[in-house]
Amino acid sequence: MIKIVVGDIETSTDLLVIGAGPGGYTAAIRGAQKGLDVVLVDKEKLGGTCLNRGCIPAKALIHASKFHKEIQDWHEIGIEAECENIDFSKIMSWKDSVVEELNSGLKHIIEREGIEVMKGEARFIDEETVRVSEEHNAENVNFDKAIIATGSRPVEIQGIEFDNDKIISSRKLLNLDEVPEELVVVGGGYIGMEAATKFSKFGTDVKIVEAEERILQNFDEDIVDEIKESGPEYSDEIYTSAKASGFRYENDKILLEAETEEDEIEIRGDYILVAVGRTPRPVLDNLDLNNTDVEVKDGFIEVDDKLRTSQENIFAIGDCIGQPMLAHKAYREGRVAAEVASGEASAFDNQYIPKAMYTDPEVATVGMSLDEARKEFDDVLVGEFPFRASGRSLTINQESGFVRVVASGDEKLQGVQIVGSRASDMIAEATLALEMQAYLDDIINTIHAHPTFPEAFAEACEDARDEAIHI
Amino acid sequence: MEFEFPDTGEGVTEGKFLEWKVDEGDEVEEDQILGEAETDKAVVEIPSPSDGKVKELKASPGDTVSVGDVIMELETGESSEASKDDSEKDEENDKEPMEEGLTEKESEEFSEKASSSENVLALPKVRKLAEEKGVKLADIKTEERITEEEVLEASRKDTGENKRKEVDRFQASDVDASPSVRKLAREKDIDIENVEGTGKGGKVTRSDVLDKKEPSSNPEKNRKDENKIESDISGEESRKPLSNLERSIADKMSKSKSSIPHVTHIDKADVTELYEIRAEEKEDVDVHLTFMPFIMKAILEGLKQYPELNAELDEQKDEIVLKHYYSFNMAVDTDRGLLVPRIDNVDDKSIVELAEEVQNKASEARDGGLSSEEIAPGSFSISNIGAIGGEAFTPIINPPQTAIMGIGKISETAEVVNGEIRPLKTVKLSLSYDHRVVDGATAARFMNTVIENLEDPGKMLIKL
Repeated sequence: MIKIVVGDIETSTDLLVIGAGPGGYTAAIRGAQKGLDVVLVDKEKLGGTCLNRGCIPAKALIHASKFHKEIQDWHEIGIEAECENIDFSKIMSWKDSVVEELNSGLKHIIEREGIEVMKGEARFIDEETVRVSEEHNAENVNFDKAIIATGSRPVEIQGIEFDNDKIISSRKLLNLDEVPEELVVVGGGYIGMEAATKFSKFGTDVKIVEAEERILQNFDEDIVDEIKESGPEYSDEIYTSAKASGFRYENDKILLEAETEEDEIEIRGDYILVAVGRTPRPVLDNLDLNNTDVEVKDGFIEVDDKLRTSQENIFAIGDCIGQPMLAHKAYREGRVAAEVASGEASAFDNQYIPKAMYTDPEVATVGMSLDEARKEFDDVLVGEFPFRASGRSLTINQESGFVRVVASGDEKLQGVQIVGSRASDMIAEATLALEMQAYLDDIINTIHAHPTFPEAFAEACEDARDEAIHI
Repeated sequence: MEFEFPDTGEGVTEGKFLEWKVDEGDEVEEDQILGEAETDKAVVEIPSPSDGKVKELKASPGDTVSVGDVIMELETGESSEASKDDSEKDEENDKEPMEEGLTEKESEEFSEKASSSENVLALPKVRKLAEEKGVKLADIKTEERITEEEVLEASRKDTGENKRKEVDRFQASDVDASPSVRKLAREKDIDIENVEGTGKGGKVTRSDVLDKKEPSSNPEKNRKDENKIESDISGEESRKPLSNLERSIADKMSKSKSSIPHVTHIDKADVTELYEIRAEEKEDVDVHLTFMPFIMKAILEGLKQYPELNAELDEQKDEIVLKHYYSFNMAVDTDRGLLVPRIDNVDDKSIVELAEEVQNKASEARDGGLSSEEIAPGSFSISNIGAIGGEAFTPIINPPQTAIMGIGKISETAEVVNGEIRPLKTVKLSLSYDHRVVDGATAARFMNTVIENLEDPGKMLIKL
């Protein structure tokens, strides 16, 4: 194969976006909409972690596994059916086709907006130039403004480094060839729990090893209790206060070694999934930021509310500027950064970032938890509505979970927690209400279509005033 | 005790600290003037809250201080007595829990807590509450026993701050406004935190933002405007920020001119006779006798006959408030900007007394010695631009007043009297009035009365 090395070409652009994940591609499209010349650089496919190896493929698999599991319950409503066999490779190719479809849609939009995509790795030469190393050549891109959107990578545990064979990250987990018999998950956060959700439904024996005292530290304990009740995968083989320390092979299997308070244990699996968090670090290290004034603190790029770094013409968005590492936060930030770069009076002034976790049932929260509200206000109103009292829940035979609203004494909404089969969809209304600074009355006095899940949100608001109708 | 920058009233929330009149270590008495600060209303003197000794000066000249900022540590007799008292009680309170078996770390923590709350008065249940809420009793400022409410308030403040710190990055603002309103404010260069919300619970609405004027002194915006004409004009420029006083004048003037329908009525008075009388009297009195007191008396006569000009419009009730007192504000040009010292009871004072007061107030204004009370609006205003120059002008009403009289330059002009041209001393008077309160006919009649009085000073003086 002949490599053609092209001499130093230099292109110029108004806006350079590094990283084509949700934050980066949004920034690129928004910049183009605002009339800027945009160059978008990524060494991998458009869409980043979320589209290619995160949220989207994971949710596709969760859907398939849930479907598979629910068939077993159909007899309860009079449909006798049996799932004889699952064709895992077909499920995987269906999942790939979902990713592919979204990918080509995105590609089409990027083309339509006239955004130039460069496949390669970018390094800063100075505060207005990057060098993009593509497969067969390298060229300099001169920019007026740049947006760094390089995302994050899974954190490795010392002694249990990824080997892309038996010790894997969430990325590889989504591309397994067959359903493993046993899976060891290190990390009881939402990535680990979502892995447990889908694979246990396909029949995998999932074992969770968590270093802290309980899983899902970021969620209220009663929420975790609620999902624990709904499936054995969330309660049976969970090792808490267990610190993963090493591994060894045994026949075809791999054994995770972990230390608990009392003794050392070994947990057997076909794979060890390490899902203990994500970090922007390795990618940031490759950007040669020291050739600019961009400042990195505690592993994250520092930005102001207009998402400008300490280098005036360089912005940063998404996972690389801090927690929470969520695609929807990056979407908003990408929009803001591109607008500020084009001279618009935009700012990341959001007060609420919702969280959604695709366990079964789903969990979604926004705003203050009950504990946080009790610390902040003397007087706290709490309303709760269980889905077993919801007409809609019963009609689809999914009645676990609840909606809880937390309001301050003046009846201003402060937070919402939802556990239930449509929690991730329902959190939108709650987030809008909070961002609009709503009071309980604003929600109670809004007509909610019947029969729907969001009625439960309105009823929970009513319950905060002891006025609920259906409980 | 910690002495905070006091609330000077009239909605003043911050000011520029000008100077200290005392030094650290000085003994001071209650009400003794400790220092001066300039607010957007006036220069205010800061009196001592009690007898004591100045321990530490915490503000320096030039500092911007807000109401509630600690500007001085003052040692007072009371505070040392009180603390003695407290420590006795504290010992009793502290004994009990100390005897229980605490681990080393716990007792360390405990003694830290105990020492920090040693010098305060609080009931045991209040102390317990403070401990639960993680509030340091010593941080609560009170002269008396600390109450449960105070602890709760402190804990709210505390967690409020902590919370802000924690979420700083992604909950940049906890402004009570919906996203589109926040964006509107940004587009209009308005700091939404400074907009008073009229919605539920103080929520800032779209119209609150629209009603708020864009700040004219916003440098970012000005820069943008300049950029637009950059290609046309180039040359050196420099910037001078408005002082608090100038900003306040600017706000007041634009509000007056944009919200009050102004009419300016101009007429001429023959002051030849007054000129002569003044020249005679000037030799007999000690004070510098200007035309001002005579003009004030002539206006007073006019106001007595036409009280609508000595009035205020109550816009809420749609009523005119007629004032039966005569207090005139007098515009004075100073280094700091325009100031309007007030002269009360114009009707009770003689020409000489008025002359004296005018002179004193003007020089106090120039020296910055006026309190905000002394420049608060009276019932009528006079602006004497003629002392500097100019025939006639259109003065701006000093709200909530209804009218202002502008005095032009007294000059010798050629007037036709009984078919003959004669050189006379004349002055042009420019009366701006609120047309909602006063109509043109009344204004003209008022002006005629003022002129008649000025032209016949003998008659006016007899009346006095």
